[in-house]
Amino acid sequence: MADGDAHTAQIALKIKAPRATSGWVRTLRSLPIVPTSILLFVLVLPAIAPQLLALHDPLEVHVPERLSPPVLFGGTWEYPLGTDQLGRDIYSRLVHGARGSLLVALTTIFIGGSVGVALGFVAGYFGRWLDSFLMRMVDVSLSIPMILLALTFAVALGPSFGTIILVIALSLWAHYARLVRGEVLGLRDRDYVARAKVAGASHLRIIGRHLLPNVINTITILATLQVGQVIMMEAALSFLGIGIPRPQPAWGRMISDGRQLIASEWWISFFPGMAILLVVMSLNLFGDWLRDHLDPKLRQIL
Amino acid sequence: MWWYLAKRLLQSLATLFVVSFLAFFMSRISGSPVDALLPVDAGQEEADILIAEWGLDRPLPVQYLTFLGNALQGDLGEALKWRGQSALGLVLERLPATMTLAGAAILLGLVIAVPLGVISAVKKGTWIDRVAKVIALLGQSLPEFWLGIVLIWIIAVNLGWLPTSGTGGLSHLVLPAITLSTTLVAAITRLTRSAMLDALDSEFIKLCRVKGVRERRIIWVHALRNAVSVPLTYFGVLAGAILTRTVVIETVFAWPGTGSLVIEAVLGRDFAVVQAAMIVFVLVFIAANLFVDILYAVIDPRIRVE
Repeated sequence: MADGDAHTAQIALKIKAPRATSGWVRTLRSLPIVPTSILLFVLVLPAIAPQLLALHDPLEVHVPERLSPPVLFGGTWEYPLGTDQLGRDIYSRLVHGARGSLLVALTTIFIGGSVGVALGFVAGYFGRWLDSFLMRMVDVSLSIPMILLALTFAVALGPSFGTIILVIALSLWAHYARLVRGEVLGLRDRDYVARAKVAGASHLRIIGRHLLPNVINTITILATLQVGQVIMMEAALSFLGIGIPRPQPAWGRMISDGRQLIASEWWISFFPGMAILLVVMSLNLFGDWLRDHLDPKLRQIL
Repeated sequence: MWWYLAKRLLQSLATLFVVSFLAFFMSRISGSPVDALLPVDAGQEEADILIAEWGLDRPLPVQYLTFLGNALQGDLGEALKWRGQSALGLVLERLPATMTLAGAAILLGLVIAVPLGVISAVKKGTWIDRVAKVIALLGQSLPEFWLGIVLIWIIAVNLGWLPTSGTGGLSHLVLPAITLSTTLVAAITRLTRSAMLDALDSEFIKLCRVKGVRERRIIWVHALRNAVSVPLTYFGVLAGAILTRTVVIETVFAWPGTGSLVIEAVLGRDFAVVQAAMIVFVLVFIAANLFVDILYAVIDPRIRVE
């Protein structure tokens, strides 16, 4: 169904004459409904106001009700998705886990993205040895396995929020730097840049006023597509026990908590995984939509 | 082509140099390297030996050179958790298991994804294309460690078709390899599909058709040969990603490779082993990329001429 919607939207976009004035209305109408609602209800709303959606305190232990099954499998509405080995409500833990995931994703993409974009501009605009040096660093950064870097940091610094943000941001910046550099290289020698120079514009003004608006769409698309990837990275790190520290509920950690009980109490691991799957899949679909909408020529690159 | 390869080799050395610097820096960042490299209950005597051996009482640049010199001789320090064993030795001992797993996943991924990508490009818009699209989307969005657990639950526990974890025959390899290959399948399917669409649209394919070459030969020989260089370009990166993911997958399936060794090392706060694993993984990644560069030149004659 979502696929159909996206398809119709694409056709609508193709038919559309030069950008209509009511662009915003059209944009909203062409939003892929299913992924957008999943994102809203599984990720964004729980992250903003978990106390409104949760039924219990995510850390509250109910020993008598431990390992009770989900509602359709012999459980009660008191714990709709069942409880874990300490009797904590899985549903409420999922709701409260969204904030950590989203927070890590937004922070790391903001930090990694800003650094990468800035370095990409420096490399593409100023060129010469700075360019070769920075691109060398990009290659190095892309060849360091993120999980091993995270494990090394975790041993050296101890696991914490700061550590995962640092590690993930370190593994993200290179993608932005490479992308922006490529775009800037293509734009740098355009006539309007030369004219701005003649008119006496400073480097900073040329970058901010004339180049940035041309690459901002590309950056936005990359950032959107990366939210899902980062949520997955964070979940993997939490699964390995070096992500979001206890007792804060995290989806990846919940999966590892239920690992040994999968044969009998499957719901402990199953639902957090479904949450990740739904959110990441929706983010991918949403990112594809955004890419098609903002910049069709990127379809090949990203 | 030789010039091209020499340049790549030089670049790889630069990468290794930076990684060694990073590894050194990490061991010093946590305060005294004596704390990072020795167990908590180590006595002053052991600390003195370590300080003497690694020159820890000398200035930092000298320490780095000592570290680099030792590393070049294959000495990355002694493991803490496994007393008396060298960190590098431990990592290398477990590497074959990891390579087997990664190799199986890559093979499986290629066998599934390349034909799937080709068919979905040829039958664009049909149900096969749609199925391929869904598979690619799922492969991109499934958390692998969770998929592994779910496969253990359904296939190993409930259906009893395959063993849940550990090593043994080929049957132990199936589930972890499938799990590990999902992202690769997704990526290669997408890349092959779009490259095939481009290739099928090109002039030389039209010429083949005019000449009356059989359709099957056009698709699987002429078009595929031109399309395959695109997924190949990404193959080095993807192989690196696969290698990294073995850490998680090995943990899920109790596969006795480098990945599970690293996790044990992290739990035992064994910095030397984690560091050695990072350096070895980067080395393997670099080797994989060089291999791809060579393969690339073999498949695509345009590179050879340049």
